[in-house]
Amino acid sequence: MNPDTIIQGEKSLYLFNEHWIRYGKSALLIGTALIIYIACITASSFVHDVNHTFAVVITIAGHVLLLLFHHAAFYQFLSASTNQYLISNRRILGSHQDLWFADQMIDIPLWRIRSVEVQKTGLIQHALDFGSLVLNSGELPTLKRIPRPHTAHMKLMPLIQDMQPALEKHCGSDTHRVPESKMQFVSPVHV
Amino acid sequence: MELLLSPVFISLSIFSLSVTGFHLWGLARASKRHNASPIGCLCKQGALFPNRTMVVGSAIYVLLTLAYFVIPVLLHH
Repeated sequence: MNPDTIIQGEKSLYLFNEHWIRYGKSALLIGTALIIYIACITASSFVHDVNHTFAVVITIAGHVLLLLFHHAAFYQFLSASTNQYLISNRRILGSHQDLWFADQMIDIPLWRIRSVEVQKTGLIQHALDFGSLVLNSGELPTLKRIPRPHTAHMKLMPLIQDMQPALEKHCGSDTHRVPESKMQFVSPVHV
Repeated sequence: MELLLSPVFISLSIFSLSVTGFHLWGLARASKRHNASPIGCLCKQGALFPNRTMVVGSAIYVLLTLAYFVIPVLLHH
């Protein structure tokens, strides 16, 4: 472990995985694989008496498709199981990994967050109680498939409010203001 | 048994097993990356990978991969 990645005085407050709906794609792939395989086996048994070679070809094709979908499903499953979010007293961290093709880490300092919107769209999201947290109206990365997003929002808001003095200090510092002596007044152009 | 020992099925089985191994190796690498990341460092025992879901999922994955070698032969007979 590398302790350099932790900010001094940082504490983890709320760790959560994405909603279980992330496994939906895997379940769909496994279901499709089984349906295709059963269809191939059924077709093979019908053809068996007429043409044995063709029946074996269909069986093998079904088996190949089954294995393809099976591996794709578990690749999706294992990749999805690595998705996790952590809210600390300083920042929001998110981890999204594909086993071999992607590795994404979200690191959002709390002082950058001005607004948090809870978004639940569609019947499934309402029924299963999950949704997205949109930060700064989409200016920052959106946290997707959050279970009980209103709870996450309630836990996040006090932390963001605590950070507001730091934000005001950052925005109100002299380095970000243009001195009056350097301001230029442009006269309107008359056509 | 003939079908099971046919070159097509032997090569498919070997290929399938190597894909499984490749995926599990990828999971081990992803877990290592995650444990070294800020989330892993901050949460220590609470968020270390591989977690229970991953272990159970991997076990089912291996068992199903092995089962898919035998099922076609059983069905063929």
